[in-house]
Amino acid sequence: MKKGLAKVYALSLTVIVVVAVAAAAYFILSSSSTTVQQQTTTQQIHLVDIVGRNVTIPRGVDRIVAIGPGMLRLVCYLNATDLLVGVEDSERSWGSAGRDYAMAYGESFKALPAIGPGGPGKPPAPELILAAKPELIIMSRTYCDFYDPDRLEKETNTTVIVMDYGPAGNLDVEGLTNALRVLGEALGRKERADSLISYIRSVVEDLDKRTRDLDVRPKVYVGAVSYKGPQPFTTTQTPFPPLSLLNTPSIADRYASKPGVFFWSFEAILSEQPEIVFIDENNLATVKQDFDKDPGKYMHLNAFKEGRVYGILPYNYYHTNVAVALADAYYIGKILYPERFSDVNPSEKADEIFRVFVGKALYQQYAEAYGGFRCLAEMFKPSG
Amino acid sequence: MSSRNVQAFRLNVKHLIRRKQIILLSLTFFTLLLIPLSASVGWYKASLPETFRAVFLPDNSQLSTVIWDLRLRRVLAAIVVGMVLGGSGVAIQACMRNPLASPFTFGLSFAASLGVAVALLVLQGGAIQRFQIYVYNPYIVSASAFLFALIQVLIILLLAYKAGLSAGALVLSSIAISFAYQAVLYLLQYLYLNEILVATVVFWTFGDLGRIAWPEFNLVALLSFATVLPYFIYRSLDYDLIVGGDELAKSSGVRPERLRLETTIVAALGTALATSFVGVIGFVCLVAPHAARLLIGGGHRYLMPTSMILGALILTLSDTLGRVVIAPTVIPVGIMTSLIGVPLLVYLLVKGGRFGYRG
Amino acid sequence: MVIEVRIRDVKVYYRSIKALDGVSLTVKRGEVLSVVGPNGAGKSTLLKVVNGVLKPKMGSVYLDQRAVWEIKSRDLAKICGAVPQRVQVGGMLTVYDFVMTGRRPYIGFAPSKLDEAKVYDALETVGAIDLVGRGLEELSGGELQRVLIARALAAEPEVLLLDEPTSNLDLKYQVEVLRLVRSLRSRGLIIIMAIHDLTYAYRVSDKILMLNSGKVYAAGKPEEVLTAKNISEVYGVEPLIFDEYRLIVPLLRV
Repeated sequence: MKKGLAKVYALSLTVIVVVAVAAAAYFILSSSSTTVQQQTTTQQIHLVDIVGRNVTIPRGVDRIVAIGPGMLRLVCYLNATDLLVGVEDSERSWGSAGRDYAMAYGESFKALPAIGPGGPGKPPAPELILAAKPELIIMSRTYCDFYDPDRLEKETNTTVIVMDYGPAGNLDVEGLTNALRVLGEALGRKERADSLISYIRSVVEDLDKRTRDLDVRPKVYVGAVSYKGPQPFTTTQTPFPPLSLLNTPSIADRYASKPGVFFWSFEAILSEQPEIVFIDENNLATVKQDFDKDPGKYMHLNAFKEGRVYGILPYNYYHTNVAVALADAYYIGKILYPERFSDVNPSEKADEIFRVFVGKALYQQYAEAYGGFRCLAEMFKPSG
Repeated sequence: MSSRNVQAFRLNVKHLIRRKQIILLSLTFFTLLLIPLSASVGWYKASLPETFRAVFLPDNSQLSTVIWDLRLRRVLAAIVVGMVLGGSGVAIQACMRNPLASPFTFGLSFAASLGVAVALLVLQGGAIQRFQIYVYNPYIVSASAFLFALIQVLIILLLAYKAGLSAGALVLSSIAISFAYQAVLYLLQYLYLNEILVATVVFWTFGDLGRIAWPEFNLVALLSFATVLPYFIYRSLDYDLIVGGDELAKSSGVRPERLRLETTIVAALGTALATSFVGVIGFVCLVAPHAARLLIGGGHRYLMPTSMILGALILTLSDTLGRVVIAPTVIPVGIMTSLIGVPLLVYLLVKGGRFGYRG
Repeated sequence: MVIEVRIRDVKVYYRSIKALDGVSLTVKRGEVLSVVGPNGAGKSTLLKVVNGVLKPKMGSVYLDQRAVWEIKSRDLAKICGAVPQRVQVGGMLTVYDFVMTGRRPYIGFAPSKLDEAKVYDALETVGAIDLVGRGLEELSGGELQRVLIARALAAEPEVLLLDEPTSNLDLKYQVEVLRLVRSLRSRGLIIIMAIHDLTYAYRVSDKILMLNSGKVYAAGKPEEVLTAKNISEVYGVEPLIFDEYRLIVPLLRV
């Protein structure tokens, strides 16, 4: 009966193989369905925010709020205003003049509920945020100095991501780029972030190219820069960001021990004798008042005597208005190096920049509010 | 007592008086010397003879402008304000019989700050429209500060008058009102002013002599030299009297309440005027009288002018140092006087031992 | 030239307390009137009424024909010199400056040579000329008391009011002050003195006014007022009176 046994063996072997193959097939197929399950749960984004917190955000959030200096601006720059479910009260009570994003989107803010007081140094209001039911809170790093973001997360039961784009008043291109990229990913605006970043890079490149290899740079001073209240002519910033983009120093650079806002004396300015003076139009009234009281000392400045005094738009209002800072740089470049900027019309270029950043041409509004890019020689003529 | 002995004692007194006169004259001389010295110190470089010429023969040159508008004006303002503060300090201390009294004990600085805050608020039209602050009239802030300081003084006088205008009543009223003003100020800041305006108010409270322009200086100098300073000098003997007690004063024909009232008003006016233009300058009205007392004793005939001159000296030195120490940045004189004033006051307290009024 | 100080029916109230309740007295030129009585009897108050420091609720105070409140305070200060019981000593004043304040009614803008001379005179009169350059705080009780008197004298008063001039003084100085009072009397001043010590009152005064709780208990010549009966009634202590020595001591039963 050996042949009969062989058939049995063959049959059993076949059965075993078939069963084994089937089992294997089964196992293989089932694990790939768990893989499918894993893919659906990784519809989440893992990011590290600016203070090093690991933040997990679901893909496709459509309810966000932004609190603190500059955060709403980032949202606007990323064309993500449709995701907002509330704004800070300050956005409505301050009036829009002076904040680039507010001038473009201010109307739409009015319809949104208030989610906190807003303003530098004012702590957030968790109850109000809760009422708006956001999925994500974008919080300014400056708020972390007096309010723990993790605490806010617990209180509002919402994910908090802390952002910033450089020190206030500065134009930190790297910081800005980084912030746009991270936030772009968080809000599903990656493409927009990329295109904005490349535009910013191109502008910086352009300014640098135009001013890189100059032998002669005029002596420049920027007075009355905005900083915590009306500042006199003797307050300046060193180095001055738009000037830095133009590879040009300010006369104050040598004297300050550290970068930032610098207060010095009129005598020192006199001894330096800048050839060209720019005044931050936010504080123009203060300077004019001082000039009216005391014209003598101003008229000993060559820049004033020759009427080479110009106004620039203020860019430090609830954190740096990046668009305005860049627009200022073009205007300053045109004044300082007219040959290198002969093809540039500052107000048109400003509008171009505004359109890219916030989708609206804002130069006219700025000019109405502050005066715009202009020569101030007439204003600073001694009367009688 | 033989007549020769009597002569000896009379001579002794003459020597004492002579010593006082010498001290006063020396201090005056130093202060006057400080004027051209201070004018030659600063960032703008110029030689000494050039500087002196600019001081005495000013023309339209750049150097003259620097010397006169940027340096001398501060020095002259320092002298006038210093004299007012020094004199007011002595006068108030005599009337209150309290060596720690000063015009600022009345809460003048708080009232003036409140005036500034209100002026900024009013100028804003109530609602914060923009981040800018237009001060339409350069004198509005000063006028408001002065007005509020005046109201403060009137309220205190009214309260004290109800309580009989004794020294204690004045002090208590002042403290109470000061707290009230401070509370109102903070409330305003919290509710209405944004951080910009708050910073402005704070910035304003750092007295800065660079802020004053020629018309303002002329006003302060005129009023001080015409009314405030002569009044204090004239009343010197009365201050000697009131230090001994209200009854003593009455028995010599001086009405203590009237003296206290007048002195308070004059001191407050002078101080409020100066403060409204240059901001709050502390410590001078405490340090100058004490130092003067140590140098010259308690007789107000010489104490009063000495305290005035010392006030001028201290303020001028502080301002000049503030210009020089971290040039080209200028430290406001209000900060300098606090920095210098505190250790100086401590030193005087330790060294002086007895310098004041018991009881 | 004041001949007479006349006080009629003066009432002074401190809140609800009657400090003086209908007091009258008359003192003439060259007389020393001592006001005696226990603490709180109203002695100091009476003195303050005379030189106008306190205004009585009712009653009148006359210097000759003139009512005290009709006289300008400056002129009044030239007539009445007051020596208070204590004074606030502070502020580093010298004796010279302090006595000069007594000249206040005469000084316009600055002291004159005449004022200086009067200050020295006053200090010589009280025998304190050696203290002239010293600070007030350095003085002993007796020295300060004499300086206070000098200050009052510097005003060249015609009426001198002394409030407890001998309290807190050493015996030597007590005697000196009393001698001084007597000499001033012979200069023609009207002297009204509040005093504790009955012996001194007995010895020095021409008239005595004994007050008790704001009322006049007795008035008149010393021997008439300072009787054992009066003293024991008002002070609650039995005295021993030695008329020849004009000595009054309390009887000590220990």
